[in-house]
Amino acid sequence: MKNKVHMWIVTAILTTLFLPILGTLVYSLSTKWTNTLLPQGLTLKWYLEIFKNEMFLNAVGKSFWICLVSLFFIALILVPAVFVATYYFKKIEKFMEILVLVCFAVPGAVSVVGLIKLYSSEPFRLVGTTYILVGVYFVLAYPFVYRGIKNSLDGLNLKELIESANILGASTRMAFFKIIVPNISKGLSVSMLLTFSMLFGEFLLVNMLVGGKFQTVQMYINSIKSGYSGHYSSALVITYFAILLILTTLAFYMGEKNNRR
Amino acid sequence: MENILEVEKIKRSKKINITTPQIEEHHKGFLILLPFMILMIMFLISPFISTFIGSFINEYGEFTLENYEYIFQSRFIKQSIFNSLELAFISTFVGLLISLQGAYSLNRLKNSSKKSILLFINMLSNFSGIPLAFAFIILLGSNGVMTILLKNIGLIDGFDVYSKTGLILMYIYFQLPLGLLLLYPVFDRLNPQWQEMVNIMGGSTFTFWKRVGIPVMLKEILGTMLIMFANAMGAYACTLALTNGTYNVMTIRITSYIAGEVAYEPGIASAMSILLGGILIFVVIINEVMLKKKRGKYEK
Repeated sequence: MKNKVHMWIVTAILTTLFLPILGTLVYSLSTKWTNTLLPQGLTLKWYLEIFKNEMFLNAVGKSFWICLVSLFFIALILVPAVFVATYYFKKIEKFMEILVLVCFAVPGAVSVVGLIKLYSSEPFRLVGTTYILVGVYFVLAYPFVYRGIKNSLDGLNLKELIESANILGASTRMAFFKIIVPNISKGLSVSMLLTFSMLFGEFLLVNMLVGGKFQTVQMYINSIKSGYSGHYSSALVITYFAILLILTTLAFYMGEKNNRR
Repeated sequence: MENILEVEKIKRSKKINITTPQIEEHHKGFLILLPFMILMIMFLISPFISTFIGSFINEYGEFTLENYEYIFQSRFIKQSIFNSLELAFISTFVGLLISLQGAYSLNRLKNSSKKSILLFINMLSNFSGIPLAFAFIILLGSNGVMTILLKNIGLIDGFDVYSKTGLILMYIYFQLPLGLLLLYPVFDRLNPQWQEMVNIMGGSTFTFWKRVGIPVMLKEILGTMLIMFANAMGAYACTLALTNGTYNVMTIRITSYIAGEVAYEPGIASAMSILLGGILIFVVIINEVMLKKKRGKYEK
């Protein structure tokens, strides 16, 4: 009996959360829908139009590219750093925890002010280039990726693993690459995928720091406010949502497999 | 005397010999941390310091408090602060209440659909920014699907999604997945038998929540509240897209002062950023203090 009540509550919340997406989906599939209860006709032409639009495809490509590059650097720098901090420097580990809070609490609008001031003149003219995005995405993704790495590392018995490897004649570096990295790679890829979908939805930093030259998906959607029909933009929103769906589902299945092992 | 020195030397050299590889490893380890630190300093710490310094400098490069004076005198800026806080408080409060109930219900579900529900919520938590505002306009705009539907039924005359009400709805919307995700695992801590125990001892369900349930989860609830609050205070893209930048909130004001078409006022933008950052840090500190107090109360 109780279970039923809970089921109803969860269903109600989920339905409400899906309403905007559902409405957008129906709208994107309709030919015309004004002042009637139901759409006047159904069509796929808005989606065809999107996939014929080079600007959109370009934007998706750019979004993927910048997110992948940033994530690559994040993993490359953060995995060894978190390992070293956990294994050798307990104090720095504490400091990293504080940084997680700071990165989480300080909104993009705040850091943008300082970034523009620092990096729009020589010697570091980074504003307007995509390089700066790699840096700011590093900070943006840091709390999430750090948590992912840390949780995976905490699941291992780090000290014992490294010490036994050392006794068997392997250097700590070798132990890191042959033991630690393979062991955390699955957990890491899950958090990376989730971070990817977060970076994918970033707008403020791209807009303020790089501007219209670098059109990511969010920038593109923002730029079509006028001049296009509502059906076209709703098809865009649904496509965007579908990309998120694929990314999150992938992350979940990887996490599942990881848990089963 | 010399002998002693000799011995000391030998001791020392021995000591050094023993620890050298360890120290070397430490040094190397530190090198690995360097790129991380450089990036953090470049993109987090020094921008913040530069903003802090910039907030005390006027257009002629002199030290001044004018910027702060200005933001506390300007009605327009005060309004943006008030609006931001209002939206953040309302959306956090309502979002927290709904997600507490939702997370509890989700946690108590027995069937296997739980996992896919979590997947959907996870995905919704990333559905933000401009696409979210678009979806809201399509659903609730003046020609929106829902608006027309409700109009046809006769429930409403019309709905203005570009107003404060629309914004509050959207803010609550994006707070919910976050709250649900963060609070869902917390309810694992509650042992179902505890409630029975309270009931046996004559306590009501309300007593259970007041004396046991909430105190046990307090740390996480406060933490979630904090994250939701920061999330709402920092919201930018969706607010901008929904209201076209006409609704006066802090993030939109700040960005308009550094990259706006109308005014370029880096000093005022910096002062506002420091204020916004300060509000959030203040909330973090209050959170910690309250936590310590409560913890002391319940753990003694």
